[in-house]
Amino acid sequence: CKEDILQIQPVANNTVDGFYQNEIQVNQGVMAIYNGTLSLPENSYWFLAEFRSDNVAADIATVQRDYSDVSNFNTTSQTQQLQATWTDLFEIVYRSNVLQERIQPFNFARVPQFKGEARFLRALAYFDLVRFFGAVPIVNKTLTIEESKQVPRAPVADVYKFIVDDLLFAADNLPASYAAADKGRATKWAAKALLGKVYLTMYGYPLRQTSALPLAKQQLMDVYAAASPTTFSVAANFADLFKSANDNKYAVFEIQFQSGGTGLGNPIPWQQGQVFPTNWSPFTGFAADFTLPPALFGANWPKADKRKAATLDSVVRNASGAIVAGRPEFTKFLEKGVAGVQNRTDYPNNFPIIRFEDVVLMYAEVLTEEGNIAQAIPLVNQIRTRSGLTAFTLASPEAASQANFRAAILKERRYEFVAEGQRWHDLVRTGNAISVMTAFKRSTTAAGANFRQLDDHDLIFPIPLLELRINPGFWQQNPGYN
Amino acid sequence: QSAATRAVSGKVTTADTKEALPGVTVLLKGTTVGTGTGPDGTYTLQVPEQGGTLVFSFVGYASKEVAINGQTTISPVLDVDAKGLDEVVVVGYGTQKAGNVTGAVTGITAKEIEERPVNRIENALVGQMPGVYVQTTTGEPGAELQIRVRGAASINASNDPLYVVDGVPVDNLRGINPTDVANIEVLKDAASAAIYGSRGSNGVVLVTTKRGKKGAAKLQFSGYTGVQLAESRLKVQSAEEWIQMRKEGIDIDWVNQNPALNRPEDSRATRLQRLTVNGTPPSQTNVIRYTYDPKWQYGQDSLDYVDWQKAIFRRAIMQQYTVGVSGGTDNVTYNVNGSFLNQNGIILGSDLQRATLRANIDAQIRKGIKLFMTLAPSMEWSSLGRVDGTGGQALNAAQMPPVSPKGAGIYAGADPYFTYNYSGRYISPVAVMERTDANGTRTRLNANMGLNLDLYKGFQLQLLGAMDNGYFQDQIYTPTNASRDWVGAAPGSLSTSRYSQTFNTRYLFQSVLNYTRSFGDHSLNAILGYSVERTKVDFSQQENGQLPNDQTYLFDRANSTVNRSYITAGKEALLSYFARAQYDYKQRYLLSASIRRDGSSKFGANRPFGYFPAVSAGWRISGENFMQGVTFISDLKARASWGVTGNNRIPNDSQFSLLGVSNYSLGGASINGYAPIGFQNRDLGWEQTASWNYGLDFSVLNNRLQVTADYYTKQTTDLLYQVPLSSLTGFTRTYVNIGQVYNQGVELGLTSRNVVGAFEWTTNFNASYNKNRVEKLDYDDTPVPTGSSPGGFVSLLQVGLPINSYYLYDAIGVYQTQAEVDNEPKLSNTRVGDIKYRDVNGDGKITDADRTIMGNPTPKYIFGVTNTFRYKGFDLNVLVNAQQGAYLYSLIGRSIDRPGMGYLYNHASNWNNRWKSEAEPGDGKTPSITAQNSSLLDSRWLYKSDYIRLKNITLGYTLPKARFYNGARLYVALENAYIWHNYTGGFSPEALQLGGFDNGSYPQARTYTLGFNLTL
Repeated sequence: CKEDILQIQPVANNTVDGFYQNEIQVNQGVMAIYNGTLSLPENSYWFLAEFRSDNVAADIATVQRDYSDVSNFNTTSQTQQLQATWTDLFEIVYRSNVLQERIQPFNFARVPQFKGEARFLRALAYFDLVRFFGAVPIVNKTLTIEESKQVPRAPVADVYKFIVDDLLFAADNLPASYAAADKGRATKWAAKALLGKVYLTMYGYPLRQTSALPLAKQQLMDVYAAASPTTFSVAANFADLFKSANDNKYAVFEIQFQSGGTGLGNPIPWQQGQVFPTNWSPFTGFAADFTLPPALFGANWPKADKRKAATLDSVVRNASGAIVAGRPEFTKFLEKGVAGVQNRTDYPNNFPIIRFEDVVLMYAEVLTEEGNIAQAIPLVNQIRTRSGLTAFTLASPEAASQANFRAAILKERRYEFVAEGQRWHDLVRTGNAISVMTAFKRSTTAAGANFRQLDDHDLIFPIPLLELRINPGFWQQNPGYN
Repeated sequence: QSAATRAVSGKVTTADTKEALPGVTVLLKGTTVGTGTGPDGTYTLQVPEQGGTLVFSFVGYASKEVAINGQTTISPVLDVDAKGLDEVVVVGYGTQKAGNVTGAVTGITAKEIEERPVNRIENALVGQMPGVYVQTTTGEPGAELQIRVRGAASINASNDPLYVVDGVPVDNLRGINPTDVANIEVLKDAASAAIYGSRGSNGVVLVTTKRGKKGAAKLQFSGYTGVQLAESRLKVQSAEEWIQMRKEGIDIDWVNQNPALNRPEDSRATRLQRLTVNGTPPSQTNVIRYTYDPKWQYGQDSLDYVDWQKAIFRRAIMQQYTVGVSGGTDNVTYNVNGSFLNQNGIILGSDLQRATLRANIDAQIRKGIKLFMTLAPSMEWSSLGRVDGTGGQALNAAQMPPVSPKGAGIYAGADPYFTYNYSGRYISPVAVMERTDANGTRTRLNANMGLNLDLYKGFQLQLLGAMDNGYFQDQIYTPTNASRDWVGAAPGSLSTSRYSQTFNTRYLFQSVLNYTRSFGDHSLNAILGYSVERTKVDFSQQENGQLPNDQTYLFDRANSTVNRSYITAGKEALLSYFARAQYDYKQRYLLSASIRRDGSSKFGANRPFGYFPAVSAGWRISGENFMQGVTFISDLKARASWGVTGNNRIPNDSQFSLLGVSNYSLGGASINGYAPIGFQNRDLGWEQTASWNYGLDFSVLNNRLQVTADYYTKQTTDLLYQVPLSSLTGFTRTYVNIGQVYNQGVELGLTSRNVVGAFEWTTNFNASYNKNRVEKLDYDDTPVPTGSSPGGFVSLLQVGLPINSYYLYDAIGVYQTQAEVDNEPKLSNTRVGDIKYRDVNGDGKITDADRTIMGNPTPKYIFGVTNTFRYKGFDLNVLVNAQQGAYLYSLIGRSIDRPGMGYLYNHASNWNNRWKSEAEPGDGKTPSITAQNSSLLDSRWLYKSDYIRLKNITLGYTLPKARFYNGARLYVALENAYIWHNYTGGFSPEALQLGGFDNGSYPQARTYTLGFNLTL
């Protein structure tokens, strides 16, 4: 018998050797980067950002739940969710780097677009990394095992510079729009909108670079000016934004989901749900042990705001099967009566990364920071009137001072983007996180007034322990964590 | 034909003590005519007038044949039969005289298996052999036991030994009826195992099944039936204790609700009233959060108190029956055995049935040509566990609230009964076990056929073809009423039905050329062999949900939704060449050398082949002239060996950088995407173990005491291990050949015939000591975290320490007072009532640097002692086994014994003594339920797993011979009679599961059995 019987090629899958040979395969490599973003709504926006904020109050769970530790400022370097998010984000970075290296030999027409997409998505990942973990290593190529142990944590400012470079490249190389079959890919406007947000964040905590404000303004103005019914716009009816029929219609950039049981569905309606009656969905909610705070599920958020009904609900059935009001839950992404869903993580709705409303409100925020409240008011009013609220005027108490208007915008952002993972980052960059969250925890947890005073170290998470142990002592843990 | 007969009589005595020997079988050779000796050693037997030979046999003595030759009195003297030096021992690809063995080989025979109820082969090995550590990691019926030969050498590759049944390597011993087994040998040292090359590193377990012997057909029946009871249970809070703790939780919430006004002694009425005044309407949620259940004062008049462990445990019947026929003519011999086992598990709804058949046939086709074949189909039907591990029902039962709504009882939370409203979401584990329909069918067909050809003057060629095919079919159906979310759910809406199929095939072809020659005082045996093995696994799984109703598990895409539907496959090939020579001079100087070359498809293109040499030597000192005068020593042999073995037990395709499907949807359509899912490693190769073994065998006092002692070292290099990667690489783990582990150990085996004669007492004792340490790791010896679980890791690999040493924060109590918190080292968020950790480095704070090494999961010492007593027809066997020096980390313990659990579910009973306030500090070990540092995996759940187990007591009675049967024995046995241990974290200190944890393993059973063996 010959020794070639030992040459068994894998039955299961292709191998990297012999791949990336043509445009189709390179495009499949680009798709793999996008695929890496599918976990972001859960692992970044919901389990980390939203649970850390005052939009959700997690009870102490019956079994140890990472989101409960996140919510109650109890995370340690061993909190599994942090490791999961870290790994997911660096997977996007890795796939982006693979693509950028493997695309080198090619010069077909879509090469700049593919590179732009790769760098846009890498920037998206790094923006979360730097906001969650502070100084993180900058990885701009694929690494060997040895190399991976020697990448230092780059200062926060350097990480932002890296992000800005990627986004500037993406803005220059991505097309402004795509044909129907490619709808959902990152556009030039997505890159510029994200860049605007990055600059605005650099203007706030922790970098506080005042020079970033005009840069943010430029990007946001460009995107604002590009709005149209065929690109992106403020949705006339808030609830329409989250319907799968309107995928890629209003928002600047969305993570694409679809039903069909192929693993490309959105798990967020399930994660954010408690109990769904069968006429809402054939699958019930996850029913995590959390409650919604009075600021949202209560008189503080007036019903007149049409966004409230589109964001929250509470339905449970009593013993005899009748529906009674009860456990509040987010139903923003749940289209009640949805059909075609194959399992609980198979909802069709896209998840917005940058909505046009975000661009509008950020633009208003930039103007407010410049002291130009008068120009900011009509921008904010676009959102308010669409939501059924009275428009602000210069005479409104909210417009009485810069501080008041800042607060008004922050509040507007909260209602607009609740359950989308924005609130925590807004609180941090505007410098409100410590005071708001300490008060919030003291009013919602069993510890009551005994809940500790939060401090700067609570504004970022610890580096996951297993990553620290790859090369012990090479990286220092974030202050205040074990 | 009525041949004339006459009587022969006599008395049988022993050679060593000259005492009368009762119970000796006296048989007229070649017939079924026979009798036994009476209490005084005498017998009388009718024999033919002419010719004939009598055979006298008795356990522990060499049988003796005496030609009758017209004598009327025959009174033989029987010699004690030590393990005969001429007895044949199975070694790889052949046999060897026991006296000539130069490696470390140990074994048991059919007798040890047949004389007690054994439901899996491995169970018969527990406590029997030095250096062979058999652990019952789960008590689930039919589950595999874990065998470790001389410690663990590997980190990520498997540490299971290679199993070889009748010369054919197989994956496991599933589906083999223990009573089919003639003997089991374990090759422990590298020199013995190296003939199995790349798979020999963890030792080799050679199982030989019974084959027929020439003679009239012998019919054998055996069987046993027994009752199993749970050996242990977890200590959890009673209903009263749980209610008490629940009340305290409500009071704390109440006081926190408005610290200025609310006091714990406020009545329900006051609370309800004040809730309204405070502007918080007393919704149902708030009433439950802030007030007691009025039913508590009526206790069991208004509520059901449930002991959930009692609810899921049951008395369970186990029975097995075997029927066998063996015999043969001059040219054809056969042994056919069929068996059926029916074992109900001690946990509701977990059952196993097994049916086996084994037919071994040998035929002398013509002079010099012999054919042998085996046909061994088996089937197992099991209910697929559902008890073990996280999410398993053993854990569920431990943490269920012990109070149910009145009338719901053990079905609380399961349709149509609601959960108790002062608890959380749950469903009765009883309902889950009863309503879930889980059936696994495992069909295995093991068959082989071969030819032995005598070629020329001692040259013999053996050709063997074998196949081992398995077809596993698992089906699990969960109807809507087995879900905790059944309330309001339409029929079928929560149902799922899963169907998985595994089909694996293994084909082996081997040819071995054997040369045996003796010339003068020299004898030589040499083999030269070639073998090729190919395996293939196909797996498919379908799962649909939302079946149209809850009537059937059958589904169709048209009336349900597809949850999963996929197939996978894998292939593997192993190509080997091997040679061995064994030489002895006067059976005094013994030499053996072997080499094997293995090629495997599992390794990288640069390194597919490995070489595995071995040499060994022995010196039978007692054979020397100068020893002839030393009558005290009957046998003395010194042995030494060296060899290299390998380990290739890693998943297929580990050497490739595979592409994983990574799709994305655009414009509403799914678009294919691919991303690499691992590193490519062209250099991936064998893990190698070089091992030295030094042994001494001796018997003294006319073989009354036999001793075997071994010392060994094992150096494992090029460890196949999945290094944890920085996520920066894009991956989290990859297989590489890095690192070194060193094992060394001492083994001692003693067989002592304490009393011989009419009353006989034999003690078999074995003890082993093993120590391992990691010598080298990743490129720069970075310690590697292992034993990771949600929440972190508990152990690590570190150079200089044993494998998987626990590395934990050492919990030394509870901060009893604020002063302690203020003045003592602490974690940053610490409050009074939190767990206190030892400041290992003494820097005044508790940080990651204060984790410390605290033991490891591998026992240092293992012991087994078997005492056998025989008197007349009675025999009593007592087996005790023990281990010492290992630790076990319990995650099941942690799940009911952890701060942050809240008040809703049940807790370990030590929570009655938790820290409540400075005035009520509890037991000093259990913290406050709201302790802040709750998510750390610390030493509170690390337990010593030392134990001494009275593993088996069997009392048997061999009936006197009667006309209508040849032999008959009845026995009663008690398995797992008693265990001494201090493990409170789970059900059994043996429950070491993947990663070094007890994840809530199926409890072991104490089994009372009645059995019989009958030969016709």
